[in-house]
Amino acid sequence: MCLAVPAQLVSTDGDEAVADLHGNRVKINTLLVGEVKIGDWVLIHAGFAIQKLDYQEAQETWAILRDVDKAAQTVESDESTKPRIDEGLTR
Amino acid sequence: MAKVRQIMLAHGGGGQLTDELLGQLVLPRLGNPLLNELLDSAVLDTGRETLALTIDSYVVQPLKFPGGDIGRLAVSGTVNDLAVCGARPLGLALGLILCEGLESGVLEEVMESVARTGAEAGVRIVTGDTKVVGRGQADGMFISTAGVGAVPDGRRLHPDRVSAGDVLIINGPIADHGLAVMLAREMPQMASAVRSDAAPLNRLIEHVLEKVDVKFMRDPTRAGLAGLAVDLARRTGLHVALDEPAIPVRPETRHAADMLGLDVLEVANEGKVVMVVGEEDAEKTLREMRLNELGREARVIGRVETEMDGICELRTAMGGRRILQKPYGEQLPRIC
Amino acid sequence: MMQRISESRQALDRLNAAAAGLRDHVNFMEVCGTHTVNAFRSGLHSLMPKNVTLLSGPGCPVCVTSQGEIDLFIELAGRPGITLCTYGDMLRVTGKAGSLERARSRGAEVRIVYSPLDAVALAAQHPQRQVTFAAVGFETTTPATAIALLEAKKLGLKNFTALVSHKRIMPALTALLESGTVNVAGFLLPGHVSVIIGYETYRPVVEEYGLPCVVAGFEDLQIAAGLARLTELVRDGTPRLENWYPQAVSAEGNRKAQEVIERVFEPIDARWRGLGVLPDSGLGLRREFSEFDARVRFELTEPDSTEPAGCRCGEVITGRCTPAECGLFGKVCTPINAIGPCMVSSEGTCQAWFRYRRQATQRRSDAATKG
Repeated sequence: MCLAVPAQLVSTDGDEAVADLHGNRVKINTLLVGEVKIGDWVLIHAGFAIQKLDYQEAQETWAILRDVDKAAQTVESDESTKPRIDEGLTR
Repeated sequence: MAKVRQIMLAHGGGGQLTDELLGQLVLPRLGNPLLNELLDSAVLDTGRETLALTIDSYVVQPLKFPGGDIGRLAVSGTVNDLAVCGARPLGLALGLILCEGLESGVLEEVMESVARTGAEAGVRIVTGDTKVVGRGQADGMFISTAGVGAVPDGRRLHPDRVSAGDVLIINGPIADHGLAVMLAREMPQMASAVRSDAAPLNRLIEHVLEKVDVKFMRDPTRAGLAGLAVDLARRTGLHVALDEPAIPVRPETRHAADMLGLDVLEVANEGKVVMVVGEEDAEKTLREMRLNELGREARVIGRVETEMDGICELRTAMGGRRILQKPYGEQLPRIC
Repeated sequence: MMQRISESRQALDRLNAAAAGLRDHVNFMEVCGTHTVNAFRSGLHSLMPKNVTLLSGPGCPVCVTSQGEIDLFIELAGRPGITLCTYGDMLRVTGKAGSLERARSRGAEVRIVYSPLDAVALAAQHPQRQVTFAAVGFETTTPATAIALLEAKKLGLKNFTALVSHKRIMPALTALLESGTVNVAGFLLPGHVSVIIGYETYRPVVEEYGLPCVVAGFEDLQIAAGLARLTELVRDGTPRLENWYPQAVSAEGNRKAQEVIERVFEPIDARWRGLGVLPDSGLGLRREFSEFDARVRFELTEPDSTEPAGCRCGEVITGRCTPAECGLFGKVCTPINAIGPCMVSSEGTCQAWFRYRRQATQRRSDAATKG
């Protein structure tokens, strides 16, 4: 566990801040992450920001993944790209 | 199956527990062929014409929420139950149970909402009843709405018309209503962007029915799209496959659901209809739906397949599969 | 959405490619209820290579809570004058006297809260009621309780308490490895617990047991990529500790959060379902906070833990058997009529299996136990 979601801060006020989740605004407590500013991305859990997020780091990591297979498949494309289905799931 | 001993909130959720309640305590005493159909309205053949009859109760808390209020729900919900059976609504009966101490201004606003929504649907409240109960007994206000409609000759919507190869089409994004209400009730620290989709769909549905021979329709209310699809599979005995990437969800709704650990497939809708049509009618259905404001984002979201297993399956975004179940009955926010 | 889907497919391709290079069947274990649920919901289990199995470990805080402790929560909720505030996760867990849900239907004051600060606010608003917060969860959630208690102390509240049942993940991992009963080739580590405790905490798993570990996030893509990486590490015979959630997880974790936990709590021995009593695996309130300790204020004694007859939750959450191998699974024990917490909890392995995966082939369950 646990459920935590990323959100961007749109205002700060002492130990509290307002985070934006695609238009939803949530008031959260920032005591666990210290100094924050508007525009910061944070991870929210149980009404608290539990970490400031660093997306630059993430970009670099996923670049390694992309090197593996350059051919991007889209969800609408052909049958041959559909992954094998485990027999265990059939009735 | 364990015996139902004491009623819990989850028994009213429209999910598995509601099925248990009905199956153990209600149907054994009241059951008859018409009731046992358990569709959104009862279709009554008088010999001269076919009527549809339905009733729904509205106990939503809070009474007012982003996108609507109990009054709008009270009209939309009942009108939609008639419309999905192919009926043209003739009139609504409104039963009000008011709580002692309710502010008159609140009642006026709700009645205003009822009137406005009725006008949108072109349906009138033709009779009603009003009662008052002691302070604290009705969460402010409860409403029960019965509706009667006329089903034109030659029109029949029923699960027994569904066959392999048919597709499922929905008129727009899911989970807005349930989330808007839950957020308004449980999350005072949130100003949510999610708005209820509560709306009467009879005009949209009538428009499509004039052009397409729709086989079966339901509105995915309390148990969400999952509840509807699982019921469809069980009723028809066929295999229903939903296509996860095709199911429309607004970003603000999805992210609010993610934050609370809720599955959008299990959240209530009050302005959505799922139509089952023959594959050859899919394009036309989409086109006709999209002509209506309430159907602009219509999508094909699944199909009925040949296996006779009565199972509903979700083809996930990742290309995997999982079996869908009807939700338990109560949507609970989680942290884990 | 399109790009994420294509990246997930790439991660799957990578997983399959790595699995093709394995000599034997391998089991990996995740120790996080959210990983359990998301792996099933994404359909990942239906896409796994035949020779790789993902087992669920003791990662669901509700499932690992002992029966006796669960009974304590329910007993307290039933007392007049007490409002028990809880996360939604706990509502349906069953004890000897039913569940919090049933207690509520019989008149107990049980309130679902999103944040422990909501419980503190409730206590402040209703000084005539005793408000107790059910403090359950691993390290992701513990800091929130700590801040709530500091707030209660600052406000000088006389009617707020916490019934603390927080646990620490590392002692459970160590106990699992020490027991030698579980056959895993590597661990998928919990992204959000790691946010708090830092990935260096898991170093001993790699160094003392030689098992590769990958810290992963919770999106479909992140879980698939984490598994792909684990499989590669096993294939290449290179046991390493890798962090595949770098945007949120660092080596040392969230120091502030760790400090606040230190200030309010101290490690205590705790009983885990399926693992017994593990030293320093739980958290108890420090003496300065004992006025907020529900066990002290209400003189609670934990009843003996007796597992329901036939329930194998303890073995399920330690990866020693699959849900399908429990005689009660799907027959007597279902999400509606759950016997053990693994079936009740929305993150429980048994509920996840029941909801997302009807039949397990015999081959798969054989592979899981003999590894």
